[in-house]
Amino acid sequence: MEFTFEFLAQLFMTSLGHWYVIIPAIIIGLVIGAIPGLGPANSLIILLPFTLALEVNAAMAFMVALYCSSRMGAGIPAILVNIPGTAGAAATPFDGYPMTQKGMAQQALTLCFVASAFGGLIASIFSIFSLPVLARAGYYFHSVEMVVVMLFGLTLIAVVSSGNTLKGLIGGMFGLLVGAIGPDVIYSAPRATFGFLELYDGVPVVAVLIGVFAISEALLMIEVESILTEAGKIRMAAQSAWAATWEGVRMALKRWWHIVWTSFIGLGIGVVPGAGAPIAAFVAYQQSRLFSKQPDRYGTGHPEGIIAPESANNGVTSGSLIPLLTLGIPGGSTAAVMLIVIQFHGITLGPRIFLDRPEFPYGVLMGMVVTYLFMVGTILPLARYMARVTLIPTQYLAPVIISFTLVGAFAPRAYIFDMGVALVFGVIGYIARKTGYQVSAILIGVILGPYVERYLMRALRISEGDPMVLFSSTLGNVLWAFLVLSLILPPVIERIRKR
Amino acid sequence: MIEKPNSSRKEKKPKGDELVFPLMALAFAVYYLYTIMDLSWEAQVNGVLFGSVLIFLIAVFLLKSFIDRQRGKISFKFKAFVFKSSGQITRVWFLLLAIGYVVVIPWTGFTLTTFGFLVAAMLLLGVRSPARLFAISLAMSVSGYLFFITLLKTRLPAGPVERLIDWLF
Repeated sequence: MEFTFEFLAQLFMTSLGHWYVIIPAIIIGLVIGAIPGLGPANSLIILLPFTLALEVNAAMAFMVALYCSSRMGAGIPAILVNIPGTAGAAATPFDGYPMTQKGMAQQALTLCFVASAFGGLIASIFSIFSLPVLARAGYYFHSVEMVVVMLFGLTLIAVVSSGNTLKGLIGGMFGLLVGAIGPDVIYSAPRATFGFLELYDGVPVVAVLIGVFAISEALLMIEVESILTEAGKIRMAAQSAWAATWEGVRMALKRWWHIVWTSFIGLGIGVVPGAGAPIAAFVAYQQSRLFSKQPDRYGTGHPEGIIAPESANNGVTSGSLIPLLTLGIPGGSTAAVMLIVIQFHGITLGPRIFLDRPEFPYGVLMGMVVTYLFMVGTILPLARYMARVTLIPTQYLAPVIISFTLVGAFAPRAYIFDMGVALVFGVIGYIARKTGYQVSAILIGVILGPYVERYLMRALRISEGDPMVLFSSTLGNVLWAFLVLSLILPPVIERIRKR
Repeated sequence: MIEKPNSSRKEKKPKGDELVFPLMALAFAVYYLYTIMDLSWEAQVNGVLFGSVLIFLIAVFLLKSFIDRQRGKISFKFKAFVFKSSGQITRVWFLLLAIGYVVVIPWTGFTLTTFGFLVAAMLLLGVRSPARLFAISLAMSVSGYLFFITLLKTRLPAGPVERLIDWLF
């Protein structure tokens, strides 16, 4: 089969024909994405009997739609109550929540939806045309480069997420060390487990996410009667139902170029296995601020501060499927569940798929295109109703957040212990927030900790323990240079701007 | 605090709170390094690398804070965590209720514990209408049961309510 317009049109029509699985998957994905702890991988595992029973293309359309919409759903609580549904949305509250406090939740949600949908759409269309080329990118990233990519990501997060770089780095390094609790990668010797058997598998990341974001936010929230400021309440009461949604659409479309280039950042980072949405969102946020004419407005409810992370983390979705579709290597847990379904249907992924069955990998990406098109129509009308959450007094909101998110901490491993971990990190997060340490840096450190160790050990084993291996590759050294620049440049630029 | 308009002396910023997190992180880093002392180098390398960077960063932060204190820019007084206001006491009780929720849930199950927690927490936070307390707590715990246990099949701890529903249906 040749790669022609007819071929693409046929794939588009086939994908469109899967509307009956795509629309329910979008709704499920939005809900599970919005609840911390209920990621797409868990939900797909629960729904395995359903997806295995479906025809393979419909099953893939369902899984891809659920994956994409859960990414978008994670931005909803990040904007409304300052609690990201997943780590990929950890940069969204920086500007999303201040907009909510100003009574502009509906506009912020609309910005998030438009940026997510168009960011994802652009990235998936580009992926269709460049699938075989993008697949090669993964080959250039070996263990050394991966260590640097992750440290670079963490450094950016530390610089971006806190007004004080030193505080940001302390948070990030603390997170890396917490992420290294549990077994080492070679001998599985337990480290820093405080005597708890439950930590022998490592620290539960979902419980940490819920602790540092949700529990600490609930503890802070009870200081005020409403999450809206007085001006925000007046604005919410004054604005008409649909006007705010259209204002959000206009804000987003006016910044169309911003959506485009940040989605490419997401796509590029998504292709690298293991890097993922959190790094993409923070890199996009940092780049957006760096090149902005109004960098001081970031963190105060600036539309571009929502567009950048949301467009990038949805750009990651198509990027993260590329290693799976071209090489048969799942880039993450959701892709691993997809691989199970694909294998169940007797399809072998790898380079030969482009000769034997090209309609399959291109069809999956076309399914993503159709999903994003459906998503705009499905979710935009809901923004005005979702924004009402901000009107609920905190005396009702805070207890519900605690009880429901603790369930989210329990869900992945079914350990009551993990609820306790969430509470401990809730207190740590509360202390951090109260004293100006950004919890995002801690969380991303915890997530990256095990990955950094795995790649670091692999590099050191290959070099027989020589640490200079970390400076042995050209690409790695370029990335080291970027890392150093990311630490040095912001204060220098700041100083120049002040002059 | 109301600032005196004629006060010529510059107020020192209370920064004692900002030392809590680094000191906590320092204690953890020391504990981490202690636990890996007898392990093979492969198990140590990560902890030594990141632990020492963390300790270095904390040392820089502490040194900077002490220099600022010596220059009279800051004081080591605590502002954020002082237990003076009734709000802080409410927060401690709220946290204790959350801890109680985690302790009790294995015996009383998700639905009943959530109901009890929501009633107690909302009461603590100032909701006084019995009808609202009961209705909201019941609605949330029932929707939690339907969503997490019935729909998503989460293996939440079963208590009298879950057992009764299992027995009935």
